Amino acid sequence: MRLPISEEFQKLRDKVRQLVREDLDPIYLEVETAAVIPESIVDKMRHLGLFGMPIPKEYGGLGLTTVEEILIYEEITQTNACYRSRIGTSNGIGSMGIVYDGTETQKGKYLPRIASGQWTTAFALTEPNAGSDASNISLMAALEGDHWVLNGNKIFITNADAAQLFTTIALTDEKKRARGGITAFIVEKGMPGFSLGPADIKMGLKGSHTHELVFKDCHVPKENVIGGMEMVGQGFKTAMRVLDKGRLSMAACALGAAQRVMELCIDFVKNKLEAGKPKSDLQEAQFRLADMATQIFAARQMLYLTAWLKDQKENVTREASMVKLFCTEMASRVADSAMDIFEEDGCLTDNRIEMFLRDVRLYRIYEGTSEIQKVIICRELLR
Amino acid sequence: MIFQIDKSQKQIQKAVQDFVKGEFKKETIGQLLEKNVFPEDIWKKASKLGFIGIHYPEKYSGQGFGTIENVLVVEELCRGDSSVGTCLSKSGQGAEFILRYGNETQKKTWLPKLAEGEVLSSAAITEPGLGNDFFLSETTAVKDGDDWVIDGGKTFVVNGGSLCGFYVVLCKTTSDVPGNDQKFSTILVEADREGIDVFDVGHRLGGRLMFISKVNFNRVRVPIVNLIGQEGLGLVQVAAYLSENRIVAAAQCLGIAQGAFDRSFAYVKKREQFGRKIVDFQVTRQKLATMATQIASARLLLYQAAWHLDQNGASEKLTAMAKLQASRTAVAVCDEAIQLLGGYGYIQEYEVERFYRDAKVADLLDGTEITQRNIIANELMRGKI
Repeated sequence: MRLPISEEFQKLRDKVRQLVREDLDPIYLEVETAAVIPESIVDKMRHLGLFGMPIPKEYGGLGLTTVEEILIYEEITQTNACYRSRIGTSNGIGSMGIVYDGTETQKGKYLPRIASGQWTTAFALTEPNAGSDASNISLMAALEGDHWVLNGNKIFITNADAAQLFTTIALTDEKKRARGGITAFIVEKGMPGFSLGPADIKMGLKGSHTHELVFKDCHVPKENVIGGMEMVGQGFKTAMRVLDKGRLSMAACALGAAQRVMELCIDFVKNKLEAGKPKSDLQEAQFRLADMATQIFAARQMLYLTAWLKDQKENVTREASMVKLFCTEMASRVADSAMDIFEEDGCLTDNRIEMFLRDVRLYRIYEGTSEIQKVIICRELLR
Repeated sequence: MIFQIDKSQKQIQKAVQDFVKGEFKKETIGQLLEKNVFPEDIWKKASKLGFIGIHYPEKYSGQGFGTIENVLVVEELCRGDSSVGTCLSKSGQGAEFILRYGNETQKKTWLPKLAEGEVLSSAAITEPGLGNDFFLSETTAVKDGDDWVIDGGKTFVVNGGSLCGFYVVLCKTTSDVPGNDQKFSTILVEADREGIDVFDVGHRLGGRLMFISKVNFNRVRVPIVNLIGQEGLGLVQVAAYLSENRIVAAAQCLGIAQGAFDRSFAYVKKREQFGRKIVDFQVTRQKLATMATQIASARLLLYQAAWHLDQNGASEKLTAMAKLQASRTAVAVCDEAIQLLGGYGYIQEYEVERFYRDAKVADLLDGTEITQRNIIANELMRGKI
């Protein structure tokens, strides 16, 4: 499928490719071992407008279409996955709630500084007892005069340490829950009663930090309900819509990683000698690469098509789930196969593959596990 | 045919399980992981209980048991903890060269030190860029007076480092023979000899508590008597060693798989979402059944290979099949275990992601699946259906 791309966008895409090649990729290992992205690099991403990719132009964003966004993600994930996480969590799940359902005042107040990257955002939904069962949250929000008072906690929140703004999904009516009992709030860093727990130690995505959020009588102004007081109880819809949108982005991340892994394998087999001959002469390696290339090709078509359909305003709930499911599982298979090509050398972080292996593993879990995607797909099928 | 382990084997299994329960404390292991250091304390305790070198003859401080008993020990240790378990079960890496080909002095000098937890041992065979092509090795050992002078570099040397007692080094000892067959020998190099440089191979996927190193031998001198077995039989010894080592590696993989299964099974029985335990979803049960079946079949193949070694010597085909199945099972089961734990599966504290990483390293480090299949195919072609 050939996607229609404007010349202007192609320029941006080229700049991102250059950024990856010249700035992001060369320090992938330091970012991994130090578990930190240098602020100068974050600045470069700000400079390209990457923090405001889907945010409408009138609020200072790039106003990219879905197609354009996934193409950028496909590029920026061909290196350490943390760079994408730093921007994508912020301009994606962390802020889309405001873009979709925020009041004009909220949009005007927050979106420009989010788009410029001056502020980073995070999405606070997950709790110890609310993983896949997202509506099973316990963070309570009670209205007391001019403030909502929040009590409870969230876990595994990406960007928590860098964020100034947290789209926080809380319970406002314990009985109603997903049917009118959940509300989306804008919680700002520094609000009384809000603090972070220690960082999680994760399998991968080391340069992207996740923390627990602790709300102890956290006072949030009345105005901070996303969409205003009439949106109280409508937060679950907001949350699901935000996650829906994230699916295609996640798929693009998986695709970018798989693409790079395959290219690393091709390079490797051309140069690696076995019994005096390049490994690329061996049939086992050849067929493995053929499998990789085929899966990547299939993944790309379904992603591009679905992104394009979404931009045509079609309902792509089921397709987006299929795309997330397929692309993320595919990336894991490709990375695993690559490890077999690299053999024991694959274990060394110096050779890149093992980091991709660890990073893409999370994609099958967060923003909706593969199992949840299957539930969504089937629900639509059996309707 | 008897398809179960006997009473004394069950006792050994139980003894290791009790040891694991007592010593593999979460806090202790957490500290080891934080510092990325070898579990010295636990290793020494294990050796005092006779778990290290259980298959060495008693006169060399072993317990006089066989491969099956060693397999059972390795399995339980790795089940207890993938990282600590692999460190312990690999502590005598390369000892089989001494056990099978060494002279009395070499056995008397070194096997007790291994079994008693005094030193680790290393097999320094692979060279950078060579993989399995040992016949292309460039490390040389030249006779000079009463010494061998060894020069060359080896990589992926497990246990190469501060706790190592000796290296078994594959060297080219003669060039003036037609085929590769007789060019190589193995030589015992004490770790405190001058001229040995050890470097960690660097940040890696798993096996982070183990010493895995690049070792350079810069004109290292050892006495001529340090030759292991017969001169010129190096490649034969290496092939035999790898075959035996494969079984231990398979046992590590199997133990890791079992450990990941245990943990994920326990988790899904406790964890509730959508108003029920995760284990009460049909798909969860299907997954558990698949995992358990994979483990059971890999185990049977492994035990058969181990039994065969004790009865008739190593069968290339069986050891390769055992390693292949155990590796595939370990990686698949650990991967599924991560998925069963959901978000927690990605968090170090919940262990399964580390079991996965250690499984993948165990898969690749002791002969990859491709290598195992090549070996099996060769055996099939030789008529060993």
